[in-house]
Amino acid sequence: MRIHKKAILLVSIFSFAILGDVTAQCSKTWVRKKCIPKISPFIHNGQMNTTQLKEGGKMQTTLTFYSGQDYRILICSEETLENISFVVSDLNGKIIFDSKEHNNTDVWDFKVKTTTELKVEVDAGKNETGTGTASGCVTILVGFKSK
Amino acid sequence: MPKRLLLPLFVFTSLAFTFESCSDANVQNTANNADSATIDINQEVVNAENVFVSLPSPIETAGLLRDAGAKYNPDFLNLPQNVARYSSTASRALNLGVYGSDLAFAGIFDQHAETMVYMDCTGKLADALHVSSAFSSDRNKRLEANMNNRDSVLSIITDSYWDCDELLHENNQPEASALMIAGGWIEGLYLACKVAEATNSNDIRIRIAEQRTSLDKIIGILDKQKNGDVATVLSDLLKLKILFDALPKTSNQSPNVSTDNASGITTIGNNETTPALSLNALEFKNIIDQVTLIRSGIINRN
Repeated sequence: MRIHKKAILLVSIFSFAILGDVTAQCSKTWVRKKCIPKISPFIHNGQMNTTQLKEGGKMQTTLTFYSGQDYRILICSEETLENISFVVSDLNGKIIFDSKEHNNTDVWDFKVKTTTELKVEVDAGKNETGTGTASGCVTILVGFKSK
Repeated sequence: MPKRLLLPLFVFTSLAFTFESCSDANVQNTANNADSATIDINQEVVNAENVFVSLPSPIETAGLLRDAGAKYNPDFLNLPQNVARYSSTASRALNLGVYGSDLAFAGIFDQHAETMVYMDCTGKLADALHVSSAFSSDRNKRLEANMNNRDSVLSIITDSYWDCDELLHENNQPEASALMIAGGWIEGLYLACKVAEATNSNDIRIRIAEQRTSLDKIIGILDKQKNGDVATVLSDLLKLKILFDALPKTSNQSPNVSTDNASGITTIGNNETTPALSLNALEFKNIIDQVTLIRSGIINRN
């Protein structure tokens, strides 16, 4: 009986430890704590596009921006990724904004007069140091200004 | 007794291992993909272990309506007393979305008393779906205390909506999350249609026509769920998609882009050279009829 109780206890602790690890990945909690504050003074539109990138990797998404609104695109990433940059282009591939031409900024504010879809591509460039295997969460957030 | 306990624990542990394994596989896949190709997160499974994609909260839609000249009309909103009738998971999730949009609508038009009423409705449904912390009493107090600051109100509503979506996923209710998103979107579109009908506003008709992309995204989210209730809503939205797909296509031309030298702010598009797509009378009638039918089916569910 005593052995069984110990077994149950060990199995339980082990199981919860595993589950704890699972939830420690890219999460809304991370986005909320580390990223959302940077969207101010714009209002976060509630949309989140998040994934985990390895250095050298890229992610992209297509977003709709409505006429008459002011917007902020924010790229937020974990510190393990040292060389994050992003490009915004229209659906014909014409580049509208390249963060590399603006001191690798992580935000871009702009105005929209005609509703348009834009492609946002984030590039996790190779780190200067390390083994080339670093990875981290990256999220693209959008804020808007209500008139 | 130990034998009775050990079996479920074994199953639990096995599931935990399976979950962990699946999770690792996703991380690995994502990382490997990242080496060779760009991850297009629109194409990824919604809320897979390491990929989260969500639609804008109803706040942005409500804001667009107000900016287009809409006036607040409480008669357009779902009746607060209907909240008591929703007894199934599907009707609760769908109407949590509906009330979420109504809440956003009341909030963005500074309707303080009704904002609290609809916060209460969403709280009741969230509670019934076991995600009560998304609309907790603390948050209600914060909302009440910040009622005169619209940005704070909008931020609290967005947070609640976001938490709700997250908690539904954490509670292994992705179908409920998908239904909530669909209910919220339909209500937003219904409100836009009603306002456009009441005001004959071309600006709002333009906003309605612009919802085609959002509709495609919602259909994509619902299509990933296998639940019967989801299938019913999906079928309704596919009928709506036929109407949107019949609208003229927007221009494929690149929008004009100009940057103000002094402020450095870039402006995309030009109203004069790129007229926005609107709806003619027949297109509008077809869409409002279909949206009203779908919305009626949602709010009259039990």
